[in-house]
Amino acid sequence: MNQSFFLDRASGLQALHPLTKLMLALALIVTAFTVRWLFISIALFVCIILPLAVWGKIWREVLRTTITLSIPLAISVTLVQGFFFPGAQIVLWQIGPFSLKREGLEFAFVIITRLLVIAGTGLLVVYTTHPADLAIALVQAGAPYALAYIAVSAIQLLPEMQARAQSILNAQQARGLETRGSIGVRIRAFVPLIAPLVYGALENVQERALALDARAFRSTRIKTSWRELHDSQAQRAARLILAAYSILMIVYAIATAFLSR
Amino acid sequence: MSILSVRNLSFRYQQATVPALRDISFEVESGTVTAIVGANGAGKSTLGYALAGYIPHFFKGEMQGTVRVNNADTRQTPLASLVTQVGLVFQNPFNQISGAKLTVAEEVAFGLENLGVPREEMTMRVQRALELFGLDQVANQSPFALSGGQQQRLALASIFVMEPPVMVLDEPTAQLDPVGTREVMESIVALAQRGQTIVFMEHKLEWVARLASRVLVLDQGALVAIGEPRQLLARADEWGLNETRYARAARLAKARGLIAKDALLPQTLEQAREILDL
Repeated sequence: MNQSFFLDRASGLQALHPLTKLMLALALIVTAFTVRWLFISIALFVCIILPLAVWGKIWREVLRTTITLSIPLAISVTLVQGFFFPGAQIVLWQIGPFSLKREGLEFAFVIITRLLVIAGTGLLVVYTTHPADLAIALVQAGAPYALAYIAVSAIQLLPEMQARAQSILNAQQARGLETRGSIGVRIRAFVPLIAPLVYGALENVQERALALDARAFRSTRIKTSWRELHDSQAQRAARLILAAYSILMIVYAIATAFLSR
Repeated sequence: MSILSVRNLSFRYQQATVPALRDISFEVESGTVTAIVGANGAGKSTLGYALAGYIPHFFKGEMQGTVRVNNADTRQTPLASLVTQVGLVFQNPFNQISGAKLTVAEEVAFGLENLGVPREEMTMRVQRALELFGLDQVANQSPFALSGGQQQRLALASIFVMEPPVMVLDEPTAQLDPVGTREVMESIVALAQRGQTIVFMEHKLEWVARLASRVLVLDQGALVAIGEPRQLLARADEWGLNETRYARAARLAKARGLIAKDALLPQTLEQAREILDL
């Protein structure tokens, strides 16, 4: 059973320093949110994120996950914004008292494509970065060790929580609880699932904290690493450029927002 | 030479009305295996926490007396420094996995990373620990993919690799099936053979008899007996403990006059063979 999102595919993207990938992800997200062009996010997704996914040998997983995530969201956002966007004028389609408006559809498109960029960049990072490398990189970047541990262990323990939820569901199914079928049935099955899952997780917290202490987690010595992170002058320069670009774009967006008032 | 010294130790958890430990004193010699037995709620785990310094550093309450490990007073020494003197292995193997590492080898190395051990030395020590605990074949697997017995051996290896002079094992087989129990106990045998000082809390008295050179019996937080395993375990029922199958069989044999009435009850297969002269 794979207990992490990391896919070990030996690619150029995987070989990049985790901070380089994080800075690239930040720059792409900042671009999606600051550039005022309707198609910027979809352009970023198609022209940058997907080619990067191909380079990282993870394009199938990225496509599958982003589509799975975005379809239900796209339907609900399109319906809500398309029909009820405040102040919209241009009617495209009339159904009884409801009218589908262009401004609402455009707004829904922006939201959905921005989410594609966020999900896509996030997946690029987690699919191609070993969790331990991510922790080392975060600490190198000045993040507190405990914070880096929480970030990494949360990513890794998530699949474990999924597995535990599945075993609770199986146990409840074995005792006759209906867990499959209509939305109503699923919602009713959710309550008896969540209680043992959360209670079990809380119960484990103390022992996990004790076990971390037993492994010198709170030691103040300078930590070393089993794994070696590879970095280069070019990557360091790229990170600086990406960071500067992101800051400039944020400043530009704030300034234009103030000026247009 | 005494490596662990407990003097008049009492402890009451915050908000508890009765003490969990009452005026306990004993010493442990270097290189020996000491078992702590007692019924549920007797205070075994609490004593384990005190030996490893989690009391008073992690669990708050009223502590009296002293615990010294390798001359370090656990009350005066920070927990992060104590882990190099005394290592604690818990009951639940799953909860001892850090969750931050993808492979068994990385998981074993986690404590060494925290202690700042250089990579070359880390590699050597991790390899040695993996071999000792029979984990070298699964070194590149996910810790979550291991069986319960393997995960508990991983927990043992992860503490052993930090080379604490004393290892405290709190019912390390409590959540394991017979196969997992045997795997873990055999690993503990291997540890003991290397001269590692071990203090372990255990319900399975057959293993206590096989492993320990000395047994401490706890009852309602008090140390009520201390001595040689075969002598003490013959009185297991006095303290609400399940006697071993060999002791039970010998008791029945005594009642039917099959063996001498004054024969000391056997606790292991070897001792049973001696009595029956096989």
